Parts: sequence; structure tokens; C-alpha cells
Amino acid sequence: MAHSKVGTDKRRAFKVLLALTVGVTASLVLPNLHGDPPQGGQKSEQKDAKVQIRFPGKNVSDKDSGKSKTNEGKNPLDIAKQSNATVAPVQGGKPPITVATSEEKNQKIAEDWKDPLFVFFVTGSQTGYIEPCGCTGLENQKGGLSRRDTLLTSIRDRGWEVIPIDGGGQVFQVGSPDPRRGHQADIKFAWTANAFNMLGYQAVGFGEDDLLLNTGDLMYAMIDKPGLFVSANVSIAKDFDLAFKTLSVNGKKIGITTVLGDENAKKAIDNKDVTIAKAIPALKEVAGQLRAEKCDYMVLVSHASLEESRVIAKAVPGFSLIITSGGFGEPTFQPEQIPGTNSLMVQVGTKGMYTGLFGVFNDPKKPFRYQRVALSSQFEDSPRVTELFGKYQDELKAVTFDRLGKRPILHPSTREFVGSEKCGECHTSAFEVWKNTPHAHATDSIVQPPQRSMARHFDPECVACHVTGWNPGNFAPYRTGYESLETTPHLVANGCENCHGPGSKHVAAELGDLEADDEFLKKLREEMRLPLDKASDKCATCHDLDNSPDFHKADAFPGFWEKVKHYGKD
Amino acid sequence: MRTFLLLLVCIGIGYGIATTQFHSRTSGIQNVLGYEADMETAIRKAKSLEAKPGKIEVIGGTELDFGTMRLGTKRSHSFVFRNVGEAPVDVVYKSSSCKCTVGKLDSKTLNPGEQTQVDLEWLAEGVFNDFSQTATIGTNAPDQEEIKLTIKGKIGQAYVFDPSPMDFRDFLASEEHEMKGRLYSFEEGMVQVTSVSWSDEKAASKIVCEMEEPKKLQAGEIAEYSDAQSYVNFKIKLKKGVPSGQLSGNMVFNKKSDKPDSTEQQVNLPIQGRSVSPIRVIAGNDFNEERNIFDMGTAKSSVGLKKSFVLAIKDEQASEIKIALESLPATLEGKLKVTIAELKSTQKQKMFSVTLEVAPGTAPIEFAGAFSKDFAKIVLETNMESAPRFPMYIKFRISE
Repeated sequence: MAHSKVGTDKRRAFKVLLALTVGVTASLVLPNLHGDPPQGGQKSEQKDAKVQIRFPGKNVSDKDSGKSKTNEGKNPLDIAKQSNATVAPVQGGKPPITVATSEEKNQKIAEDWKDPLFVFFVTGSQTGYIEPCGCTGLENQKGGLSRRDTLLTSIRDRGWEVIPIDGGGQVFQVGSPDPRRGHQADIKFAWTANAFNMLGYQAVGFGEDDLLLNTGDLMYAMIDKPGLFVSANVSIAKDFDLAFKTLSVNGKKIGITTVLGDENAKKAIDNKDVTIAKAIPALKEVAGQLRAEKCDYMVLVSHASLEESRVIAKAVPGFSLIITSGGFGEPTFQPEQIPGTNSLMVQVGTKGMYTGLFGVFNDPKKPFRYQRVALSSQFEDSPRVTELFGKYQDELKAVTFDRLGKRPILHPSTREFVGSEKCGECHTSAFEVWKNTPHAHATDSIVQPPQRSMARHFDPECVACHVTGWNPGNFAPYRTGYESLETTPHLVANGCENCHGPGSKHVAAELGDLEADDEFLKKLREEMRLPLDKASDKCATCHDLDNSPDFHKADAFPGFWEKVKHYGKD
Repeated sequence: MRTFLLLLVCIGIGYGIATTQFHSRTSGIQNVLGYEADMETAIRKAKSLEAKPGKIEVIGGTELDFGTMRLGTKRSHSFVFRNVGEAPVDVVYKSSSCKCTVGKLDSKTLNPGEQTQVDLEWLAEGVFNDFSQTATIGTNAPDQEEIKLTIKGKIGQAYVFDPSPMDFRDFLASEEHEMKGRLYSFEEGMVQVTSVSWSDEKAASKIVCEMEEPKKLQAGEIAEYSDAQSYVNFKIKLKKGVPSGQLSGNMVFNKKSDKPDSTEQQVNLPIQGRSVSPIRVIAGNDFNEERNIFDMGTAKSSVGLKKSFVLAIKDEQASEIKIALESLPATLEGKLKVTIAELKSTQKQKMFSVTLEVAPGTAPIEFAGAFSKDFAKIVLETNMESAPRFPMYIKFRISE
């Protein structure tokens, strides 16, 4: 027995030595499993990322070269700066075009214009941005039909004849199997049409995404608005089709038509219920009819690229003003003279952030004037438009997420959401940090928006980033994600699992409800980690250029991270 | 002489030391086995002592490979402990690294020749493929202070449906629909589906599953399910007339393999979708789809009311569709005018505009309240077999 005991003692000593060795090795290889800043990778949610399980401080692979480099020992904020490059920071310190500059907040509107015959009020390419949401502060954001109405009213109040014209493109259809975004776009289009009617728009064209809407819904949006939608080459139904429109204003006859460019039309071919003719032949026919009407001014809205709009303008001359949806971002400050014609072309920009004022004067020396106006916070919200879009929110609520087509999808991890409170039972310090961040009040900010009167927690486009368990990319809930304030109170707020992934298995394993040995427990913990060098990409799914432009400034991420900084388990 | 005496002294000292050492070596034995007069007997007895303490032998070994276990199944194994030594051995359960169930450690002291069993049970419910778990049994036998029992194996998914869930999205109740699916089995042998049934009685007669013959798979043939042994294709068919509203339930497959020891297992394929009427009222939030109420609003008698909506009807013979208004109830005669006009007919859909009008000068009237009886009711007739009548409620109020 004595020998046995010695052996036991040796084994114990060996165990102690082994334990020390393992401990020391582990401390070198797996530093700071719970306590310190994560610096490495986690198992990605992507299917093909199974082999990318990495340990903290090790092997941050360089996607391009296939080589690896280490972040060990580096300051997390340095890593954050380095990783921020993936969010495409704005260069040169210039703010993104979505952010209103101080000049854009203090514009003088047509201040030296005197007695115009009429003013074309030119808009287009709203692409779903019916209002600035206020995520980043209303004072920073541009656009919205409510501000547009305020500007319009202020010009009309001068006693001027204002002719609002829109180039089309009210909604934007993004990746969806059908391939429409879902029923929300139908509803948004209808309320936008209601707003156009209310604002007294004289002609509205079609964008290709508008024509991908359900044809019945498209017709409903048009049914009580005869003469609002005009197109030389798009046919919805015989009762709705209107190829051109003429107006008489201050003794001048104005003819207006719109056209959908051939390149853009190709994107709408999925809707077999809509007929789209070739742009130039259709427009030539309509231009002939307008000439026959002896119009003093012919106006063309071209929903086409800049290049195609120029081609159309040259092929079908005679239009005094061409309004194009082509170009990217900010519209130009001055109209473009189309070579070989007498046509002037103006751009509407993107996302409805700008309005163009094109004044026509009884002045042979200077018959036209143009001003680009940014719809900044300089223009207050119009109460009537705000009320109108309150009804839009009411309809979203009545229709419900399910009938909007927002059916829960399986999270790539196949795990389920448990809610931040559950995370906080063990990760108490991190939970305390989170509780004091705006993320913890993300749902509150759409239930009772601080700068807005109407709630938006039935609007999938808002909900996606303001609750836990939705996919911000396609505005759809994950299974076991947020459903409503009443049925899923544990998933209000932008919680832990939006960044770290659903925690069901991790929690079950830690609590003993799921059989797991040490190795498996560790694996599940690793899967929940979001390393700092991956965090900025994850954040940017909600902190995008529209809703969080400051996030995209160079070296911005460390500052953002500092506000929410938290590490692992206590 | 001196030399001789010195030699004798040295021999004496040497003998004394040797004797002392021998006695010191045999004195411990003396305490246990009694005194032995000669060294030979003492050494023999000492050797005998070293060879015959208690000793535990685990019959069949301390490790068992369960092989591939189906997810959600339990498997247990009895490790048999026998005392093959010549002294009693105490056996005690110490710990389990795996939280696997340890049972039936009945005897704590095993006399020579006795045996007991230690049962380990493992529930395959993790999400990891390979597992290896241990339970530690302590003994007081020499060199056997701890005996580690190991169970290991692989958790194989018993089955996978592709796709799962099966989502029919919005489908017309007036038409038949079908989706194809496949059931992969990870059990050895060929999968056998013995019966299939729909979990919800409400629509059971309208949902059918058609099975094809099962097929064997070679290892790695389907990269995504490389361990799958066989599969069976099937079609889920929705007949005409699935009740309107949400379709949500499970198609329950009873399956087993063709191996003799295979037991039948129930596996569920979630199926979802929404059965919609071929007739759709498109009227924004003027139409309450849940309650089938069209809200015209409120107006003064002098102004009157007029509102339109789109009626979109889907059918294989869309161009043939006709609709008309059934005669108005007496309460609405002369008060509400209904105009129906064709808007457009496409291959599978026909659209109509329906305009409701209360003429200016109509006497005050109210069709608004909480219950169906409080609203005006109109019925549209169609020539469609699947939806010959389409009733809807109209809400409006004409004041002074």
C-alpha cells in the first residue's frame, strides 16, 4: 500500500504539475477567456465560416492574402481603428451627403427671383425615404415629404404659380424571394400617392421599382387620382393610362410627359401585368402630340440614367426642361445644357433629399433660373403630411407583420433568442453597461419617439434595428425574435443577442439543461463572442450611412465602442 | 591474534548488522502474519502478501463506443466490476465529468469473486457531433484508486427534412398547390415511412402527402448531409378549399429503417402558409381585412360620400370572370349606389374598380357600430365556382 501511496503521491504531484502546465499554457494560449477584451475571432454566422473558429489574440486572418497576423498585445482601440476601415469611412473629413451642412440649414430660397411666370417644383427618386426618421437627429438628416410640403407652401404663399412634378421611384425593392420587399412597399406607395395628391402635384412618373408593386395595389394608389400619374411608355390599364398632360398657367401652355428609360425598364419585366414600350419611339409619338397641342413649354421627366436621359433628349428634341432621375447622390447646382438642343436638364438626386426650383420668367435675357434646395431641418414638418403618415403607420399596424410578409426566418446559427435579462444573470457587469446605453432604450425611441409624435413600432423598417431578434438587412424577424411589446417583452431594446447571436444553447449548456462537457461549453462560449475587429461591421448593419452617418467618419468606431464597452463575464 | 580478534569483531558486527536488517525487514511481516523463524518462509509469505490484495477487473473494459447515436435518444451500458483479488475492495462512485447518469452502484464492498455493475446512461441531445464522457469510480485496491469509465460516440441526426419548414406563403384557397420535399435518414438501413398524417384536424382532408420509394445514399453523395444513409422524396399537396387564414402545423411522419432492430419514430415537418381568398379587396386602411368592413367615412348630407376600391380576383380563367351586385337590401335602396367597372384582365388576374357613392342630399343615416348588424351589407356575385358570392360590410355615416 505504501508503494501505492507513493505512486498516488507521484500522480498527485504529476497532476499538480500538469494542472500548472495546463494552466500556464492555457493562460498563454487562451488568455482572458472571460475577463479581458476579446481580440480575435468567433464562429461566424455564415455557413462557410465553420473553419474560422479562432482564439483571442490569434490568427486574425487576412482575407486577401490568406496569411495571418496577430492582434495579441495590441490596444483594442487600435484594432477597432484598423477594423473600422471595413465600414468605408468617409474620406477627407467631409460629412456624408446624407448629413445636412450648416449652409444647407440656412438656405435663402429664390431670394432674388422676381415675379416668375411659374416655378417647376422638381423632385424624384424618393426610394422609400418618405421622412427622415430622426435616428441620428433630425437636424442632421435631409429629405421627407413633410419638409417638402413646408417648402412648397412657403413658395406658394409668395403668390407664385408652382407646378410640382415628380420623376418617380417612390419605393425601393430590395432582396426578397418574390422579389418584392413585401406588402409594405405597396402601402408606402399608396400613401406617397395620397401625399402627392394633397400637395397638388401635377405629374408623377414611374420608376422601375414602382412597377414591381402588386398591380392591384398600384391601381388602388391611382384609382381616385386621375391625371396624377403620367407616362409616355408605361401602361398600367386603359382607365389609368395618361401619356401626357397640358396645363395653362399665366397664359402659357405647358405640356408634361414622363418616360421610363429602357435600361431601367428591364428591371421591371417581372411584372407581366404592366406594359412598357421602348422609350424613344413612344416619346417621339407623345412629343408630336404635345407639339400639336401648341405648348409653349414642354417638360419631360426621364426616369433613366444620366447617359440615357441625354440620348433621349437628343433623339426627341423640343423639351424646354428635362428632369432626370439619373446621377448619384447630390444633384448639380445648375442645369445641364444638352448639346445640340435647347433643352436644359436638371437632376433630382437620390432619396428625396433635394428639391429643384426651376423658375420660368418673362425675361428674354434670363428666361430660366434654377436653385437646388436641400430639404434640411430648416423646413419644419408639415402638420397635414405628418397626420397623413400617421395613417400610414396605422395601416402597418392593422395589416400586422405577418400580412406584410414579415414571416420569421431561421437564424443562421439555428439558435433561439432568450433576451438580454437572461444574459445579465451571469454577465452582470456587461449588462449594467448595456442598461445605460441608448441600445437599452432602442424600442422606447420608436414607441415614443423623442422628436416625432407618431409611434413606429409596427413599421418593420424601424423595428428591424430597434428590437432584439430581427435581421436589419431585410427587415424581417428571426424565429423566436421580437413579435410585439405584449408577447415578447423580453426582446424589446437592441439587446445583447443582436450582436452576439441568439443565446439559447449557450444558456442551456451553462445552466445544465443541455448536456455539455467542458470542451463543448467552451465552444458555445466562443460562438457567443463578438471580437472587436468584427464588431464595426456588425454595428454598421444598423448604424448605416443614412441612420448613423457619424459612425462612418474616419476613426469614429473607437469613440462609439467607448460608449458601450463591455467585456465577457464577471 | 590481534588480527584474528579484529576479524572476529568485524564478523560479529557484520552479522549483527545483517541480523538487525533481516529482523527489521521481517518484523513488519511479523506484525501481520505472525513470527516466522526462518527467512525463507518469511520471504515466501511476504511475496504471497504482495500478490493477493483485492483487485478490480472491469469485465469488457472501461471504455465503450456507442457508435452513432440518434439525436434525442438514450443509450446506457452496464460496466461490470469484479473483484479478482484475494482481499475485499471498497468501490465508491466519485464523480462524472459528463453529467451522464450513473446508476446501480449497489455494493460498496466487493469480497473476492464478487461483482457489481455501474450503469452509465447518455442522452444524445447536444449539438456537437462527437462526444466522450467519463465517470470516475474510486476503490481502495492497490493501483486502482480511481477507475475511469468512458463512453464515447457520435451523435448523428436521425433525420433532416429539406426544406424545413415548408412555407407555402400566401396561396389561393381556390387552387391546388404542391411543394416537393425530401426526408434524409441518418439511421443505418433504408428509411421506411409507415404512415403520414397532418397534425391539425381542421384542414386534414385538404392536405395530402405523397411518398416516393426510398433510395439509398452513398457516403458523401450529398455533401450537405454526408452521413445520411438514405432518403425519400415526397410531395405535399394542398387541395382546393383549404380554410382561409393561417396554415400552421406539422406533417407527422412515422418512420423507421428496414433493419430488424429498428423502432418506429415520429418526426415532424412544420408546414406553414396562409390561405387567401381569390378575391382581394385593395383599399388601404379603409378596409378591415379581419372583419371584412369597408369604411367610407363620415360626411355631411349636403356633401355626400364617394369612395372606390380595387377588387382583384385571381383565377386560372381570369378573363372569364364576371361580377355584379346582388340587389341591395331595403335599408340601402336609394341611399347607396354601387358601380362596378372592369379595370384590367391579365392571364391569371382580373381587376375591377368598385365605387360606392352616397349622393349629396341623402338624409342622415348611420351604419357604424361595433357589431356586424350595425353595418350596411352588400353582396357581390361572381361566376366563379370557388367563390360564387362575396359579402362585405360597409361602414358610413351621413350627418345633418
